[in-house]
Amino acid sequence: MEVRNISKSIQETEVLCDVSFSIAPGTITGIVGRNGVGKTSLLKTMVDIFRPDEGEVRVKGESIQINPSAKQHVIFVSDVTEAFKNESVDHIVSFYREVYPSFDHAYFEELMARFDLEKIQQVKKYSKGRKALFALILAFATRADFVLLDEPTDGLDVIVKRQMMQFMVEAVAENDISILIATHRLDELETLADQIIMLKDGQVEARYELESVKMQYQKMQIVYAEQMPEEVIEKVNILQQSGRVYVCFIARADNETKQAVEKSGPLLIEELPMSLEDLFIAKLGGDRFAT
Amino acid sequence: MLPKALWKKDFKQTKGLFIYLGLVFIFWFPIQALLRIDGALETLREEQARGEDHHLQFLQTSSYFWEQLLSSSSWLLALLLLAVIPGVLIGSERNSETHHVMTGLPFKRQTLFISKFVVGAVGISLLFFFAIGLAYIFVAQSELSFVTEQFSLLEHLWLPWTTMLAIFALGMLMGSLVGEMLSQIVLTLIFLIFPSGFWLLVRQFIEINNIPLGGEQWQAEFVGNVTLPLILLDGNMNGWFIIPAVMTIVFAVVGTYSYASAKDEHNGELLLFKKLNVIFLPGVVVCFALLGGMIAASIAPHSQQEFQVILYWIGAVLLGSGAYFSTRRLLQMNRGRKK
Repeated sequence: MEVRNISKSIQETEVLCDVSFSIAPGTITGIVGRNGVGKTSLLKTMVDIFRPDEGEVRVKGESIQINPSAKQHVIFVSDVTEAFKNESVDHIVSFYREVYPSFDHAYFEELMARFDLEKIQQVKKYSKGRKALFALILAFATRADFVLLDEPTDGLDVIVKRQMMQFMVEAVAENDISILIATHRLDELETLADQIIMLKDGQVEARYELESVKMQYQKMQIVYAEQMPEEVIEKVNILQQSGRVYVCFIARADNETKQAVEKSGPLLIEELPMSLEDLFIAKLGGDRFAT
Repeated sequence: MLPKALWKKDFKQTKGLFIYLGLVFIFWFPIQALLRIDGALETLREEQARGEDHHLQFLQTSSYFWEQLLSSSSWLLALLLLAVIPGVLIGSERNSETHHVMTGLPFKRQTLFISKFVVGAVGISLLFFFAIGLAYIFVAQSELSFVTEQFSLLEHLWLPWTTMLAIFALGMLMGSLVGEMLSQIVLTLIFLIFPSGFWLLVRQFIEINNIPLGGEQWQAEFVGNVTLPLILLDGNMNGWFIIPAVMTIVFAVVGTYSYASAKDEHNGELLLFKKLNVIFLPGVVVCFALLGGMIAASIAPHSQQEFQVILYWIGAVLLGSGAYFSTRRLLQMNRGRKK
């Protein structure tokens, strides 16, 4: 699946600007960014719910804008679970079976049993979490090659959330499908995602392979007798400051900065384990976060 | 060919309304026919007792029976349902996340619209012809069976059928332009009576302000012939019989195009096409100003024309400015999803 130079304005505000990336088969991709950065708009544009002003989305070589039937390979699960709320589970399943030729009814039944979800007459009678779970089960049962999820674990309890995350990893490994997740839950992505796409001001700020990113950057705790010198502050990304203790983010290959830190005479330099959240704060909000 | 999944979903969505519409048609045609047969036979018996046969001859030589049956006031309830069905087909989906789910599926938007249109139009047509067929059978089986000789499929059914389809098609067109259900239904009802309503307002403006204008007769006739509820109530088109059919086709084609090209991020707002605000806002202000003027002028005695003109303009400014501010708020409003 390939997103090519997508731009989109809503209410005269540009929410997506020249966004391009591709999703390889059998991967989990996380889309992260601050509130209102365009994550949901991007997902909706990827299935043509929102028409792009420029650019196109191609699935298996076909543009979904020109040939919507190419969307048979893609399914989008919104974080709003209000659709078909008056319908029964059986009716919704029968609808999806007719829309998606690859719909696997046996797999659907298996997932319903696995997540202990009973079939009911009106979907609106499910709790918020169960509605979200049902939407996820339905999406995976379509056997679409690309599953786009907007805040998929919203409303799920801790146990179901863990089960669902485990299930997603299995589904990718066993069926070679690709999952794209837009979320604020960076801790969840950390255990799931192969690659992370960071959005900032409607643009792709950065794209990381999660394995390699930890090799590229270091999270350092630096303690000074007084304050961190100005010339060092200018070079490092400060994630957190507590008195004379600074938690910083430095590119592993940035020897110039490392030397500057060492020369500034700190009392202590220590490497800390780095999380995706650290990367997120450093790249998208570090300068505002640190005081 | 339409995807089965779509028309099944659309039918399920409107099934309840079709049941209501079916009941209205049943009451309107077969039940009314039975009542009218009884009434006519009673009149004929009284006439026979007096040794006369005027009414009998009248029924044998004219289509009076069918005209009376078709122009029953049951039209009003049917008309309301015809405006609500497109609201459920399109507007209710826009109010919820369903529209986004549907546009994310592997179908062309034109296909989504055409499926809804076909389900609505076929449903309305089947119910209409079934009910009228039942009425025909009742009449044919009765002592009044001779009136069936005066029944003409083209003459008596073409107009109500195409007019009902045109009303439905107008509702569908509104659904392709408007972002939520209630506004869609209200605007459909407004635009149904718009030609005659607007003409009435303009005529009052002309009369009160003493503006000379010729050729009112043909204008009034034209306006009457393009006001769909009047066609249903009157049933007399004087050569304009093709108008509802043309309207149906035009509304369907424009509706399909605008449904496919509407920006769905505006769901929940009054208008999906922001460019229409340029026409909509002044249009509403002018109509309400004319209405305000007409209402205010009616307070003054008819003999005091100068006072009438002053009151007219005061009413026009007051209601027109009120409409301006309300419509501006309405255009900024979003009655859509809670997210």
